[in-house]
Amino acid sequence: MPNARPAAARPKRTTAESGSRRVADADDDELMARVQRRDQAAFGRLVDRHLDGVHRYLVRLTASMADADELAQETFLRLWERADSYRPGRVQLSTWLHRIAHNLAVDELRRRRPQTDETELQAAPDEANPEHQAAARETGRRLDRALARLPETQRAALLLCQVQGFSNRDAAEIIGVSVRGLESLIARARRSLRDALQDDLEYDPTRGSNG
Amino acid sequence: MTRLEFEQALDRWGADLERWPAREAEAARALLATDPQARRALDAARAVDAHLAALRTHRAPSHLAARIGTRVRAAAAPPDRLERLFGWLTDRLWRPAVLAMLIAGAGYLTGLSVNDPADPSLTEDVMTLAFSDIYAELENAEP
Repeated sequence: MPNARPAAARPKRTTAESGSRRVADADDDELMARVQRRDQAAFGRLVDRHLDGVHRYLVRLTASMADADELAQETFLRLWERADSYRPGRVQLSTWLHRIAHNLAVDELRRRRPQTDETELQAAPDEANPEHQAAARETGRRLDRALARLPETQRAALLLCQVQGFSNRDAAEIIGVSVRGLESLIARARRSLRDALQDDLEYDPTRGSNG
Repeated sequence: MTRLEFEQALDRWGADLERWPAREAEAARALLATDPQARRALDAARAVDAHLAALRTHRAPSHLAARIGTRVRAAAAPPDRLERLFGWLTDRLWRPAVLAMLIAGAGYLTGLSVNDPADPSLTEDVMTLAFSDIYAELENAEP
């Protein structure tokens, strides 16, 4: 074995180094087993791994950066407090976390009317093509408004499958609907977003194809 | 394929015809070659797909992970003496306290229902029973 180093030449690892490497390399279920034993390093690793995704979902579902910040904190606090109720193999951690986040967001949405801060919620601009930025920003604003106006289950279904990358089955489980129901929600959501753009495309003089 | 069927398929499978079933994709391409409104529907669906894809680049604010860590450390910290005492009281004593209150409440209600001092006829009956002998003696003693 040409790549194998003699045991004596290997650098010795301290227990802390070894533990932190194990945490860094561990999969979600291993980390959750450690969190169940109140291991804060493992919890920190899970936060690093899943915070962006959970926050992305919450910010689009609630249409509010402030609410997404608060609900994301609450989601991970629940992960810590209710770690014992997580059963590895039954459901993926990401699905479990999104279900917590979804339920918290739905409760929040029922408490208040939707608020949209359009400047906060802009999608990342396309820096490689600055000449398209203005048009892209306008399209983005229109789609953001249309997304925020969708019924909450349609918005959740679309985000989970098209943005978060969940399978239809997992997304249906997170929202609590059948797979067929989820497909219908996605189709209706896509239709609404498409309609929000299509009127403008219809009368866009630069396209030169009006009928 | 009609335009309506095309739009329904667009909403079901998205704007990338490569991901459609082969037969539907072929029919869609034939429609697109002749129908400008179908092409506009496809353009709009592509813009929707691109927008949704752009949302995937979102990152959580940098301070948020630290804030979550702080809250979890606070939740994981052992409680101080006062909190432990309060916890012990609430954990251990609430059941006996509730039981005692129930018993006291039941006793109070029973007492009220058996002897209601506001009922004048009951009071009169009790007085008659208690002092009937004295009344009789007084009546007999009169000349």
